[in-house]
Amino acid sequence: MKQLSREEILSMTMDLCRRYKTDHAVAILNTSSENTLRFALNRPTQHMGNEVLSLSIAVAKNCQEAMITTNCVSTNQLDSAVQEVLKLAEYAPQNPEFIGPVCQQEYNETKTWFNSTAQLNHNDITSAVNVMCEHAKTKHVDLFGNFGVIKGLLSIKNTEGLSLEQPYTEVKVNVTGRTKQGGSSRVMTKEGDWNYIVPLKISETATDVAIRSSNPHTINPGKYTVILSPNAVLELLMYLVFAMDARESELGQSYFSNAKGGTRTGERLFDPLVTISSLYDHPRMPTMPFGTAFGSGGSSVGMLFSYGLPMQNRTWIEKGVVKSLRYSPYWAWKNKKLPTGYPQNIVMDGSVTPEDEIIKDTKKGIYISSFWYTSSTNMNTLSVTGLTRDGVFYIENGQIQRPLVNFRFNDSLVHVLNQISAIGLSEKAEGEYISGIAPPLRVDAFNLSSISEAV
Amino acid sequence: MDNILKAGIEAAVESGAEFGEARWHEVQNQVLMARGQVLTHARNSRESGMGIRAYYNGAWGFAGAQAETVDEASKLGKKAVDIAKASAHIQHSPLQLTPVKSYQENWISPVQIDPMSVSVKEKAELLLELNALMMKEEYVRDGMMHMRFLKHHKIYANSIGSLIDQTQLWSNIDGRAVAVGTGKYATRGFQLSPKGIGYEIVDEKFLFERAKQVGREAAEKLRAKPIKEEISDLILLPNHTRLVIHETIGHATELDRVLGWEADYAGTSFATPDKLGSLAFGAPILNVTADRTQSGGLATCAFDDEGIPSQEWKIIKEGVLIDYSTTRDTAPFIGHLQSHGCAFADHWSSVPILRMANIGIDSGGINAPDLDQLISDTKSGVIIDGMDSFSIDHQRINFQFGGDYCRRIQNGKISEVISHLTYEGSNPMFWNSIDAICRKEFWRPQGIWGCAKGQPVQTAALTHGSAPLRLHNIKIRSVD
Repeated sequence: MKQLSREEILSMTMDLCRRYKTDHAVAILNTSSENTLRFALNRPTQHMGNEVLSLSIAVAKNCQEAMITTNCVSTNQLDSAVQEVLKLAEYAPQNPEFIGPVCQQEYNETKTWFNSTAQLNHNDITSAVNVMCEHAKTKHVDLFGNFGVIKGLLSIKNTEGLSLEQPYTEVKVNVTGRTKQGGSSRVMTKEGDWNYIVPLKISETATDVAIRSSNPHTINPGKYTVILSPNAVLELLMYLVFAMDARESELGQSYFSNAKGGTRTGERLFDPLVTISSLYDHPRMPTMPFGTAFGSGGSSVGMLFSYGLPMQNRTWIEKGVVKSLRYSPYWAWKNKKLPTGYPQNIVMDGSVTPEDEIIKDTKKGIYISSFWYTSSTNMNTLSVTGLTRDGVFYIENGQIQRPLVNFRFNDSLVHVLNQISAIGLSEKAEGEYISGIAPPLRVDAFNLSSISEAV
Repeated sequence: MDNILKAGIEAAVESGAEFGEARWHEVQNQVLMARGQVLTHARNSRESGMGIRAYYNGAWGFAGAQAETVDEASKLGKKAVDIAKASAHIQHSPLQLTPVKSYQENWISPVQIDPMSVSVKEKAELLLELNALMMKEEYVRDGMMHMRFLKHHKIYANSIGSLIDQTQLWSNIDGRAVAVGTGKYATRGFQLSPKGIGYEIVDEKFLFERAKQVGREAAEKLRAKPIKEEISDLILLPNHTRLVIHETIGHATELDRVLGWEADYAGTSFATPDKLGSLAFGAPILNVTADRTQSGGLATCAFDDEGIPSQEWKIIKEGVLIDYSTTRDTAPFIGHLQSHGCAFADHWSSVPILRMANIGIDSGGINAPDLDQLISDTKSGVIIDGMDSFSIDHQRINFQFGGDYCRRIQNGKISEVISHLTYEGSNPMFWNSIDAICRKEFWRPQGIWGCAKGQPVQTAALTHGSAPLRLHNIKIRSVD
């Protein structure tokens, strides 16, 4: 059986959609080559290499819409897939909120492909992991983590004439360091360009923090002045930015809802030090120049139809004031606004003060390296719980005095972002679910509600 | 397909693999979602491919692709060995594997009605009708219904001659009412617990009753008052306990976590092998059974993804930790000669990883109370129905869970709803404070669909059965 080329798959899909008289259709083809090595206790536990293809097709006819995802892409299989998705749409009720696909627009260029990464193979990954683990062994630290490399190509075509293609590469390295004395650390790195990854440096950071956090002391839970690392700040900001949906806000289902109706856009809700944006073209974490209006939890048919929205830099909070909310295509149309696109990163402005200076300026406080297993407890008040992880340190008279046992925290982001007593230099930060740029923050009266003995 | 799988395995063995296994895996998925009177999502997916895993010199290598011919499978087999060899090069302490026997079997989930045989129109109309019912209630602004069916068809073969053809089907329908008023909003959810069965899961009478009820309860939650921190007894209903079992017992007794293999992402465990046979994980009335043969269970199948037959075994007996969930490469670390068969891969491109079985708390004996007796026997406490927020620490010790619909119990009677109630527990103290479990008639299997683990992340589904149970002296508070 002849294998179709990428161009043939997409063109044939569009031809089939026209032949079967869909009103609108979009096809998104993603192919990637993925290599991942997982390791624990300084040795490999899993090592995989995959060649992946995924084709998603969304169609609409009489405002009835549906989508299908498949990796079966022969001529006959494409015909079957288009017929199946049309049948699915035919049975779906008309969507009164239907908004058709995006037309071709002006897009800026972003660089998401790096040859340095694309040429890596499983032997290179093994060598990099070996460098990290061998270094850790000399420090009596155990490393755990994964080292993943992806190279791929994303293509989009729709019935409105949109045709886009963007290659991408990604190296993702997550490393946890542990000592037998209860020390722990975590380094999370995601880059498009392999040249930014220095395995030995990752291991040096992981081993250093693991050693420094060994033999932790216990202190009582309570409200403390804390210094949150950029990673910890990013983890909390995720709950804020994801809550900034215009529709939810206007319908009274968000912290950003005005109790008297409408939204709180224009209100000062946070400390004037707080400015938060999404920047698709940030030089340290460029994202695709086009995107979609929804996150993965949103309407996926709508997500496909909105693929191709030009990404725009957008400020969500400026000097503590709510500047803009996120608009889906339907809600934007209803409110005579432009759809915003879904944020692909979070950027919080900082100052010129290095983190060390903030520590030096702190009489008593606790430094928190990262959070883990955070969960929203009340979105009316943007309340979040979670645990500290991988390096908690007691600060006294401007110096880190000793490592501490972990805590559970329970606090509201509204409180956190109104109790900032110092803000530092922003730097690249990584969370489990989003990348960003964030500063270290010193926050007063942060609620560390109980002790967590876990390492 | 059998010949293609065998070709992949043969190529792996010829390239030096000491053991090889190949899995052709098709995942079929249908998801429908409705918000208010809009069907926001109608999606089918069907993806298939092959994953080959090779064991060489104490290291694994895995390669996945859409191998559809003998040649493509052979290339994949060789690639898996190449990857294994790369890992073996730095494997200073080789992984050992428990033995596996050769099997030739077929198995399919017990399905009465194939979900794909029911039209999307019928399903969509049901979801919209349920939303309309929820939205009839005062203050309810939105209904959010969701329906999903997922089929895993796997053909597994290995280098000792196994050939196992299995189809697992998971079905689920759930929903949520959103009430808005008094300057805030509240949600109340309901679910026909996801099960390993077909469309017969859809019990319309039950759904219509529950939709009206959760609409009322969502509005009721708007008026609920918060409480300050206090110590209280808790009665947990099975639709809440499932998550507590999952997080505090199921994950804590996965041997890969216990060994530290998930330290970077999913977390580890306090229940280490030195405590096996001695740790009082709970009070003596606590018995926990792992069972991959349980009828309708989401983790139920005939063989795991390493070709090991499904089993039933005790994890906790009379309160004491006695065993773990294991796979072929983890069981040797505790001296076990056999795996409990807990390997699962969620996609053809996924490496099989250790996943807990269906893990349930055994019901109380014949003299155990019914739910009414349990409530009337509680002087002061809270009864929790459904799940809300959840967070647990890295070793499964400190945890905090929220309940969806939480009501006071005073002098044996249920009273007012409490706003945004959470409680905090600590393992193993929490399970040592259990003092009553209702009897067998009240035991309910409850599914969890969407358990994330592994890097890259994989999703599994499992069932956690329990009867209503009571815990003493738990710290509770509202988050308002």
